[in-house]
Amino acid sequence: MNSTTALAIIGAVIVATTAFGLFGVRKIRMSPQQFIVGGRSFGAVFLWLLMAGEVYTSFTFLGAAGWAYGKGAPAFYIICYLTLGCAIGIFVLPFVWRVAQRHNLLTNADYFATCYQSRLLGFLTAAVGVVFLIPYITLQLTGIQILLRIAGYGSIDTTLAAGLAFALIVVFVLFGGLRGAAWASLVKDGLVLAAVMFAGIVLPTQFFGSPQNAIDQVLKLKPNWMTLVPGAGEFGTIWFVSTILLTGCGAFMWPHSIAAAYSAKSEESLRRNLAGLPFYQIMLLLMYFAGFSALILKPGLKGQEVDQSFMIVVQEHYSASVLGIIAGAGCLAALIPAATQILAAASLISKNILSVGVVRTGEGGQTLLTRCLIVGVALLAFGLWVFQKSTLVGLLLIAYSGITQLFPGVLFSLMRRRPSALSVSFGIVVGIGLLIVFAVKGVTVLGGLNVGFVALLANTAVVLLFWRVGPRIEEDSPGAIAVGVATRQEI
Amino acid sequence: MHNHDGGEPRIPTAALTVVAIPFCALVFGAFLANYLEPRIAGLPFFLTYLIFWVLITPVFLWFANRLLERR
Repeated sequence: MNSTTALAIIGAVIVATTAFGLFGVRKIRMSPQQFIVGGRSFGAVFLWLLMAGEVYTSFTFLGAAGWAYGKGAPAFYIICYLTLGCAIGIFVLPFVWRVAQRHNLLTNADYFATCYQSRLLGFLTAAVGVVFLIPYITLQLTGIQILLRIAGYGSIDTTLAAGLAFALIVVFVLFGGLRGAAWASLVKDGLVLAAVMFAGIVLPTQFFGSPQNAIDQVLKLKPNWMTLVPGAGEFGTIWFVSTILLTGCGAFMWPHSIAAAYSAKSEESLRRNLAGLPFYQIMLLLMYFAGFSALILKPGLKGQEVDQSFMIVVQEHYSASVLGIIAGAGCLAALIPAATQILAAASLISKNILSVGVVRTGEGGQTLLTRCLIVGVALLAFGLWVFQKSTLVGLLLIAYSGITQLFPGVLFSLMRRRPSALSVSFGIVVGIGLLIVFAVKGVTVLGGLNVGFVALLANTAVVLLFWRVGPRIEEDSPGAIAVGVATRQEI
Repeated sequence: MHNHDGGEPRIPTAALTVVAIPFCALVFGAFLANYLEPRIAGLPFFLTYLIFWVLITPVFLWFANRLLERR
């Protein structure tokens, strides 16, 4: 009976939200610009919803509490990195936006292809984007499955149920595009906020009197839980610093984040949005409280169960309807970002991978092609998830480090004299090659540093080393102006 | 829009300096503030330090925006 109530609420939440999103776009004609980057028309509110909504996925929802439960102070990196991302983004993204606006770009790979005048670099960056987006999408599926398993009280086939929710969101993005996702984020963010406040304020207050008392209880149990191990140990201070730098550089390198930045209607709305985004971090603070409370109420969870910690507490101590609403919010936090990720992956394939000598389409054809690819990407992600769950979790650990390898190319594109496309490509290949070696050897920390950061440093060194190798675009050269390369001067 | 014949610096030094303050405070927070005591409003000092800088960062970013827009 409980499971029926909880699952019915989740179903209603998902269906109502997607219907709301589709209702918001019912009169919009879907050109590729409209479909992929919302017609570059989003003002402050939409942009906020979209950018904040994309960053706070089910991984944040479950993972922040899970890390607070399982690791303690290392979890604090999550509130830092997006703040650093905004600080970097405020200098980088407005420039990226201007180039995109002027050259009518749709994907992050378009940006590389345009700035470095190299379709091959566009191809490489698109491939990197797709390869690292797929595990991210499958992670959302895992998040949904966890939520459905708890909300179903073990009574349903969660793989099938997660598949159904996923299919619904694919249909949703097929018709709604990026604008539909922004509309749906309006509902999603409201519900997630309510769920997070419940988990972080109501739950600890009910059991311990206040969130602060929950912290006292944790400290009695584990005196070192609220500080890092100094030095080069696993999850020590050096790891913390290198990880927030790495993920801060990577925060807006994701193809779907770049698409969200493109959707801004003006440079000012993008800048203001980035300036305000750190406020959203308070939600994560509440998830730490939820994780700490779970640590006292339900100690002893291990491995993947850690991510379920606070949901298990909700399941054991609250009614099925409360559980349903919280799990519904969590499902939306997985599904809406998954929608924009699938859209970004499909547009990368249609625009930057297939277009290299294979497929030529007009505007209408491109939306159609992107829609077909959405189905393809979704099926691929779902198939990989069903058959390869365990190894994909391993793959995900390098996904964030992987996507950050695009950062040097974006950073150096701001310079008057850019490196050659070849050097940027070498850098990406070396960075990702190193990540693969580390992943195969099972190394996650090198001299205390996050290995992703080591790869980023190697990548940057390679770009500097090969800076002048191969044809370069001098932005002041007549040739560059003739081919319409994105330069700072013209903007 | 701008003339780039040497006069105007390309790198917005003033805005970068403003943003560098919270950026460095957060990046090096783990080295500077990794303590439990003093607890502030019941929260561990390390967490309070990070929250303080996260919440004050928008002020710095807003100010940097003003500087960037004026250019």
